[in-house]
Amino acid sequence: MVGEEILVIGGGLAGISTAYYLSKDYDIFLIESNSYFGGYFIEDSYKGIGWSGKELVNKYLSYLDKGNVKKSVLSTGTKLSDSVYILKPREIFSWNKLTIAATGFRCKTSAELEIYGNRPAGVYCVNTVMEMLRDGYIPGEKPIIYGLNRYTISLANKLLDIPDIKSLNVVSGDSHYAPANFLEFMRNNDIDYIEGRINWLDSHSRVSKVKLDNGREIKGDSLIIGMLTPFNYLNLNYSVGNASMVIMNPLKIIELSRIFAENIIDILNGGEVIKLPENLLISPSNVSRNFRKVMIGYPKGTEIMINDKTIVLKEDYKIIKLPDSDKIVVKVIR
Amino acid sequence: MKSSVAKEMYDVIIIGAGMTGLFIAYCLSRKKVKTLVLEKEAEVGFGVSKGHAAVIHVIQLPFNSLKSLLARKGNKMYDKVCGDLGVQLRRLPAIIVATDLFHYITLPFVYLYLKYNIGKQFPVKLILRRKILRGVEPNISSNIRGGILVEGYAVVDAFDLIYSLYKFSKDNGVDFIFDMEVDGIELKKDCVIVNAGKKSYIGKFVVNAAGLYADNIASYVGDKISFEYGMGAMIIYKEPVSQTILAPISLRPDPKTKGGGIIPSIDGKSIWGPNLRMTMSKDDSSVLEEDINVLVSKFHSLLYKAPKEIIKVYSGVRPIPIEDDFIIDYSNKSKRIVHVAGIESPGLTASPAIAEKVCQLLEASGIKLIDKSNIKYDKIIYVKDMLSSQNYALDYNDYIICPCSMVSRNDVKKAVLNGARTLQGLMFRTYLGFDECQLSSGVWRAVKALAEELGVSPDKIVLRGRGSWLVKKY
Repeated sequence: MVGEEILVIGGGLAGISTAYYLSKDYDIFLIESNSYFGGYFIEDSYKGIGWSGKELVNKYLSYLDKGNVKKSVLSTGTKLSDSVYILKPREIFSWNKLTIAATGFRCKTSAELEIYGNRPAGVYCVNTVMEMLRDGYIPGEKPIIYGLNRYTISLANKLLDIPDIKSLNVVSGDSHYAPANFLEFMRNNDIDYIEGRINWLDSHSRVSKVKLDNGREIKGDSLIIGMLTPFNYLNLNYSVGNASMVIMNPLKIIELSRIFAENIIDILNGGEVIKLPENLLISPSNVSRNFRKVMIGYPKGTEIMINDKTIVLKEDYKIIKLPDSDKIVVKVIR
Repeated sequence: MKSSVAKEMYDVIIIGAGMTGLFIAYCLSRKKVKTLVLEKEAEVGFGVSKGHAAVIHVIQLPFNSLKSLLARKGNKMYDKVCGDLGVQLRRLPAIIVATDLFHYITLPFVYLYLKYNIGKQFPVKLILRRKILRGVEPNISSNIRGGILVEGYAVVDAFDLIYSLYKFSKDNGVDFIFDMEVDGIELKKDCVIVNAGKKSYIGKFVVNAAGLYADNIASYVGDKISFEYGMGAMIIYKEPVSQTILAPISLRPDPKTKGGGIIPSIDGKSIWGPNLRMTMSKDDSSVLEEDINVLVSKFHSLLYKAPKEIIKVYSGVRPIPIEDDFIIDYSNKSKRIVHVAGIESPGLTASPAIAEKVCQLLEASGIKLIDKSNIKYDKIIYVKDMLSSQNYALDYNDYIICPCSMVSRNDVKKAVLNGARTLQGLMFRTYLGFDECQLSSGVWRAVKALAEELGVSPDKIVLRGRGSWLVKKY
C-alpha cells in the first residue's frame, strides 16, 4: 500500500530498522532531532555479539537508501493541543497519520535513582558522553560509570582508547544481570568494577567522589549515568525499541523492529488491536489480534503467567505468540 | 586606595543581583539616576533567589513583623509588575487543611484570627465540610475534614521574572558587572568607595542586597548583622496534582517555618516543600534522604491521589537573621548605605515592596528620584512560547536542540544576548532540561551552542561559576 505515509520519530537503530521493515509496504517519513542518523550505536564499536552497533546502523542505513523513505535531520516531533506536529527548519506542520515513537531511552535522574547530596557539574547521561566523544571532548579524566550493561560497556570501550582518561570505574547495583563477557571485558581492560548502589554525590562545583550504600567511596571527576528507562516523551501509542522498553542488545532491537513492523502492517490492514496492560516489559503494547507476536523484556529465568498459562523464559528477549483472547492478563511470578 | 578607580561616579551602587537587588535596580532604572550592580556570581539570581518555590504568599506570621507587612504589600504589587514585564502570574487560593479532629476543632479560631488580621485585604473562608472542600480542590484526601481557604496567593514564573527584571534594568541604563566580589567599603564625606579585587567603584549611595553575604558586606562598614542558615529542599513532580496551594494547619509555635505546601507550578507541575533544616554553612545546600522523606510523609496524606514521578529535587539556603525579621535600614555609620539583609521567605513576595521602601530610604537621604520619560523594554520570547501561536515556523537554520523541553538553537542565541554565560543560566532562562528528560540528550548540543554564541570552545563553558567546568578536550 505504497502511498500511505507513516511518521517515525527518531533515527537511531530502532527507528532506522523499523522504517526499513515498514518501507516495503508504506511510504515512510523518518525524522531525527540530531544532525546525523544512527543514535547511540553510530559510535558503538564493541563487538560482543559479532556485530558492532556501528556496523548494524550502517547496514540498515544503506537499506534505507533503496526504499520509499524520506529522511530529515534536525527535525523533531512535538504535541500541540494533543496533535502531533513536525518541526523542521523553516517548517512546522501537523501530522494526522500514524506516528511511531522510536525516541530511545533517557537516563534515570538523580531523583529517581535516589542519589542525594549536591548537584555539581560533571554528571552526564551515557548518550551525552557518546555525543561529546564524537566531537573530541571527554566528561573528565576520571569518570565513574554507573550501570553495567551493553550501553555502558560500549562507552567504556570507547573511553579506553583515549589516553587522557586516567582512571575508569564502573559501579553497578545489579551485577547478577551482567553477562559474563562484560565482566571479562572489564577484567581484561583493567577497569575497576565496584558493586553497590550510589546514594551520595559530593562536592559543590564539580564531582569529586561518590558514596555507595555499602559504605565505599569512589573518587572521580565525573559521573556517567547508564541506568536507563524508556523515553516516549510524546506518549504515543505506538513505540518501538528503547522507547517501548530498554533493550540491551542491538540485534534484539532490530528483531523487535521487525515484529513491530509486521504488527503495524496487520493493524493498518484492519486488524483488531488488543491493548496490553501498562508497565509491562512486553513490546509492542498495542498488538494486532491476528498477529499477536511480542517480545518479552524480562530476563532469562523469569517465570511469567499470561492469562492462565505459565512460561519460564529460557532466553533474554524471547519472542512469543500471545493467546487469542479479548483480554491479556500478565503476572510476573518470579 | 586600590590601583584602578573607575572615573565614573554612580548615584547608587547595588551589591547583589538577586531578586531583591534586581527589584531595586528595576525601580531605579525608571528614574533619572546612574545605577551600578555588582554581583559576585557569574550571573543574576544564582544565590538565594534560585532556591525559590515561586509562590506569592499571603500569610506570614507574626502579622506585625516587617516581613509580613511587606509581603502583603508586595503581593498586591505583583499583578502590575508582571503585567508590565510580561511575566506569567496565576492567582489561586491556598487551603490550610485539618487532618485530625484536634486541628478540625481549632479551625474556627484560626479562621477568626486570620479574618481579623488579613481578612480586609485577602478574603478568608471557613469550610467545615469535606464535600464543599472537594468542590474547590477535587484531589483532597478523605482524611481531611475541613480547612480555611485564603484568597490572593499566586504562583509566578520566577525565573522569567528574574531575567525580565534584569533585561528591563539593563535596557534602561543600569550597569551590571559580574564575577565581582566586593571586599571592602570606604566611607568618604560625600561618597562611598566600593572595592572589589583590584577595582574600585564610587557611588553616592550604596545598597547592600548581598543575600547570604550581606553580613560580610555590613562588616566592611563596621555594622554587625548575624545570620543563621536554613536549608530548604523541594521536590518537583511531573503531574500538577492540585489546583490550589495545600498546606496542613500548624499550631506549633515555630516562627521559623511555615512548613511549605503543595504548590501547582506555573508550568503544570507540582512543587512540594520547602522543609527547613538549620545548617552551619551558607554553601551547604546538599539534600539528604531525610529531607525528602519529611516532605513526602508530610504532604502525601493531604491528597486523594498522590503523584508518582519525581522529576527533580532541589534546595536553597536562606539567611535567617537572629532577630528573625527582614533588616531594611541605614547603616549605623552613614545614611549613604542601606542594608537590605535577611531577605528569606517570603522575600520573593515582598521584593517589590522592599524595593519601594529602599527607594524611599534613598530619597530621604537626599537622592532625587525623578521619573524618566522614555522607557524601553522588549520581552524576550522563546520558541516554546511561540509554538502556541499558529503561524509560527522555525527561522532559517534554526532547529530544536532538546525535543523534551522544546528549546531551539536560536533560543540559545537569545539567552546569551540576555546575559547567559553558563549552562545553568541558559537552563534557567529557557527551561532547558526542566522536563522529564532532565537534559538526558540535549545537554551536549546545548553546551556546543552556548560555546558558539560566546565565541569560546566547549571546555571553557561552566555549569554555574568557577570550578564547575563541564568537559575537557582530548
